[in-house]
Amino acid sequence: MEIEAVITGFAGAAIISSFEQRGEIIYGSISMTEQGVILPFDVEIYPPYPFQFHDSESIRFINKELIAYDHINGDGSVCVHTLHHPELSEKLVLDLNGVRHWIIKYYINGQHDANYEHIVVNHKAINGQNNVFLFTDVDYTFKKGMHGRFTYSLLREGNWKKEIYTTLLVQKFKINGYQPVCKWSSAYHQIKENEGIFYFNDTPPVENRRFTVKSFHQLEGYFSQEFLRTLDSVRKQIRNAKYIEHIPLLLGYPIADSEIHWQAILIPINEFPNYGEKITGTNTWVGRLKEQPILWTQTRNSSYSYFFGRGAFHPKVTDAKILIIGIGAVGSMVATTIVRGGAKDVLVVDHDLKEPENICRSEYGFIPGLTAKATELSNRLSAISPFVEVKSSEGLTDLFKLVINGDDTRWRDSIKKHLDEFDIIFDCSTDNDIAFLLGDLDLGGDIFSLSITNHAKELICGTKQNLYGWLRQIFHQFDRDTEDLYGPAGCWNPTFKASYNDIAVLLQFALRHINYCYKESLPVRHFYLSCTEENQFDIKLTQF
Amino acid sequence: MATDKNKHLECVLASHKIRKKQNLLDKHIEKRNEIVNVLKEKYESDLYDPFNSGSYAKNTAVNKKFDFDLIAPFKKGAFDTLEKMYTAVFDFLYEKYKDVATVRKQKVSIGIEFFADNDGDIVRIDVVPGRELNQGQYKDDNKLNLYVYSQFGKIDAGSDRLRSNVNVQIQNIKDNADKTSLREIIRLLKVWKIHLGKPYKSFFIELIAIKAFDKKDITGDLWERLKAVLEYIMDNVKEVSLPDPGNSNNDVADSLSDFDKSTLSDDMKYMIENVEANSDNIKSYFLLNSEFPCEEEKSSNNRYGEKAAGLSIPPPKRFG
Repeated sequence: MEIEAVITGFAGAAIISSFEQRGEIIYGSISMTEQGVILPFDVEIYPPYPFQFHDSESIRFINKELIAYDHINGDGSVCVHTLHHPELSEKLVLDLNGVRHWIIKYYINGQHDANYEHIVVNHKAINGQNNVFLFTDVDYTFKKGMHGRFTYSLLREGNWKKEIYTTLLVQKFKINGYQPVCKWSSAYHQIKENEGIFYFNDTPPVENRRFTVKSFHQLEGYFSQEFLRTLDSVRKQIRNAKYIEHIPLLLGYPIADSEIHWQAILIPINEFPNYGEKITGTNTWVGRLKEQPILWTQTRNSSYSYFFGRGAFHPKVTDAKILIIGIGAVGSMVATTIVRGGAKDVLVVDHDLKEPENICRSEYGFIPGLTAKATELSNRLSAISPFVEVKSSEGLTDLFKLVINGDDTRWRDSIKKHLDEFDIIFDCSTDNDIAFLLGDLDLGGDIFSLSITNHAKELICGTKQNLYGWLRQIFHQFDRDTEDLYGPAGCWNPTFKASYNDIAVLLQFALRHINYCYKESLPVRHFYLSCTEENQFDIKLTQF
Repeated sequence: MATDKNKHLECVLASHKIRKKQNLLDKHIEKRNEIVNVLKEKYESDLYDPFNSGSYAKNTAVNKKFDFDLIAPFKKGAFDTLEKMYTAVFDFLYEKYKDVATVRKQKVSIGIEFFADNDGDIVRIDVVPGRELNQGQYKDDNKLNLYVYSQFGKIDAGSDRLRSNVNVQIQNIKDNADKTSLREIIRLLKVWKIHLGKPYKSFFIELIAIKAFDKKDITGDLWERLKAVLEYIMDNVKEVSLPDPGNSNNDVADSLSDFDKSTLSDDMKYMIENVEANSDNIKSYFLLNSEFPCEEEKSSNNRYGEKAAGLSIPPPKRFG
């Protein structure tokens, strides 16, 4: 057999029991000798081998005695990820090398990784339903032994692989008169809340260093007696509760200097694990925990730093108070892009109604039907990120129109004061009156006035200095044909021709350029992007 | 239609002539005289004669964002320290003018911005307190120490003194600006700086323009001469040394941070590239003073409208 030949030929490897196929899986066992250390492994090889199954290797090297070491899975298999190779013999050599390196690094040298490795939680669906608690940061320092109630809300039910996934948001903790609130945006605090209990310790609830304990009895020394009394009082309060089958218990512990993690247990309300035991010869009772399997359920740290950990805009954008005026194709894309990039405070402004024909090249959907663009977009932005405070206005630009030519400077001063509160203004209204007003008000924040030409051949971005004059000047230069506009049905509603892709490719380029300028502390100049389609598609940036 | 760069630049210069704002100029002179008098009254024999030092004194002024710089030279014994001098003059001017003006501490000066008068005019006077370097010798050597209130390019706040002979600085610019067209170039650069809100000090721009004329053979029409100076700045601003004519130990180049120098070099690069690529772009950099539009440009601008004049509604061009 090819497998045995490869193993036999690998230095330090030997076959303990021959490889044989049972069903679809090939089983065998080997020993690996390294620097005088001999370790046995049961080997399981699955049908896709040498290819992966999704992100998992399809070969496993198992030794349950190694479970306390780093990079050992819950079933005792070594966590090896090796290079791709389409040939079995080559791939097996790579995998054996992976095991060998694990032995040297973690078994012989006893190395522990600097990066925190989350504990392994043996969670299971209950009646086909998985509960997942999402938690985020709170402005509160938990200490060992602290306990109390917490509240949570049902976010949504989903499905995966024929099981239900119920996503629950941890909302706030109730402890010693304080109620530290989870830092979701205000929209998420409007959802109806339920109650659970929590306990905080200085260590995770584990055995073998990294695996959650299996029985409540193993947690007897983990909890304080005070908490066990609280647990008992909760038991008495809810024992007759209808409509709920479980009450959640969150267990928190520190995993880094300023980071904590929570695990979750579901306690059946008709089967609490605690009981009291009288100490012989005394009148003292102590709280005990039964030998009862723990129903671990899932949690996710969904705090801002995790949510945007894979990529975000520069803090000069994410920490900014941002105004977006005009949320058509360009403005709505700006909004979703910056919110997906971590923006925390956004006001979207548009007086317009969303029509079905807007949808194909903007960030709107068909299901909400005809509705205010400002309302639909603000809902969508809140749905994207739980960390953005979104406000919307249909009337702000009306006010601009009233003050732009008015004699009453108080209104003008009031508008200026309001607009000066924003660190960044994206003017995507394509309204020359608004560009004129923004340029004229001498505002403190940055302004990006974004618009495109017909067929999205150019994207133009004017900034604060001489905004109106520059826009006029540059649009004189791009004297594009305006004969080929889309569907001028009537006297005055022609629009440009361009697809979502045509617009988005330019807009994303522009936003990346703006972000780059912030990152490098460069002044953001007027600029435009121009497309060429001679032999190949290309985008050129011209700065002023 | 392409823009005639030289005609446009001539229009810009004409549009920014200081005499077009004679009324405002007179108001500045009046306020300047008033401040001189109150300072003299307050400090009596501790103060030598205050004098103008800004662009007006140097004949490089433009009529947009107008201000006067007023040097107040104090005697050596008038204050123990430069900081005390700066603070005392600020406190005095603040108390004197707080009800009619915004008075604030600036890099080396005290800014007094009077509230708009009935014509909507705003008078700005920057008072620069200085203390003579050597006891009793100011009248002979004109040397003054200035107090640096806040970070000034590479010079730290409060930690350093700028020692300068301001009179020599003024004379130097005046003398050099008499060179053919240098004054025009300086004025154009100031127009660019003022309209586009660039942070560079005028004194820096004046000195680097003078240096460009020293180092390069600057000839040709107005745009060619301006472009030659822009190229000099682009290529040299990061390394150039600009000794203060009033004190050769001061390098005025230090009044700009390395970052600002790099940005200034980029400003020049983009300006040259964009104007050469399309002459219309010159209008984005050198703006007319909208109060005094040039007649020629007005008629040229009108011709732009002809193309759309036949349409009942001009077509939209900006989309989003």
